[in-house]
Amino acid sequence: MPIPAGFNPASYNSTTGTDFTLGAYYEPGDGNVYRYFKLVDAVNGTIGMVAEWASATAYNVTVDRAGGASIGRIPAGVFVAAVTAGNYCLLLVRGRHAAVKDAANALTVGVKCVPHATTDGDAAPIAGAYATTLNPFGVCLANASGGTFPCEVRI
Amino acid sequence: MPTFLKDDPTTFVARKQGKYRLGAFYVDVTGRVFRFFKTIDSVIVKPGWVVEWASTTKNWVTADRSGGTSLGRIPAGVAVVLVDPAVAPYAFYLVNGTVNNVPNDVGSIGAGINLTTSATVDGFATTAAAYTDNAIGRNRGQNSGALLLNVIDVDL
Repeated sequence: MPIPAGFNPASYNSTTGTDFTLGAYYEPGDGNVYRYFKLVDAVNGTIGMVAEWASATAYNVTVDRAGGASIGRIPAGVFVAAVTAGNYCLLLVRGRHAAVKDAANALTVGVKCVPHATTDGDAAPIAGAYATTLNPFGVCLANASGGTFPCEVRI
Repeated sequence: MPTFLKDDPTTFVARKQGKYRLGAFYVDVTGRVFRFFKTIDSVIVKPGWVVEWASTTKNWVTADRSGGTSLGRIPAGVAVVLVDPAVAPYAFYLVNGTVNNVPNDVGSIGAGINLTTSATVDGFATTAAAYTDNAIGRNRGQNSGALLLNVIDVDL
């Protein structure tokens, strides 16, 4: 459904959680699709971070890869705004993101991306140690450089 | 979630972007889901052909597997109408739903086999050999009327 006038996913960071329906999908008209979540745990979300599901029943997500409430290497969405831990957010679930985080610059063009196992919010290539994870959130569109890469997100 | 598509994606092509949003999702009367892309390079895209992403920042696609601007073997959609980039490059490409005329560079491919984009033949599909390949969707078998065309449940 369309995003109501006055809301922008690229700046949305709300303490209330009453602006949208949790778990619902929204299209602002830019060709991308977003989903409404609550960011739990103590780690803030920054642009390009990949969130994982943090509840089997609620629409909670986390970027905490160590000690948080993540229920596994299950991607939920990619941050398009800086979001304070505990707040509500609109995460990208379909479409283009220009700079998904990959501090190790491990992603190369054409490779599927999965959440990194240990680095908060980062992505990693679906290979080697991650081969059995099999929960990709998109495809890398150009070799990672400077700690980010462009991604066609599909969750 | 997608916007209802009033135009027929099997006939609609456009010289200019017009009223549709590039990259956006649209659903037709049959429930199939499409995305609106601009087709680039000089290769004319035929119905059933698979296009690949051709830009890291724009919703541009290509069927050119050699010398074009493809980023790699990353499928973006399946054509349901003939698209001549030099004449009318804007069109709807299938991203979810069944299509029955996807050509492949292998021959007969069994049902249930995932397909990805051919490395060398413009617009064609081929078998996805590994979990790292970017799948177009699941092959349901060969089209009974044209044995080298695949029936695919596209899932992009």
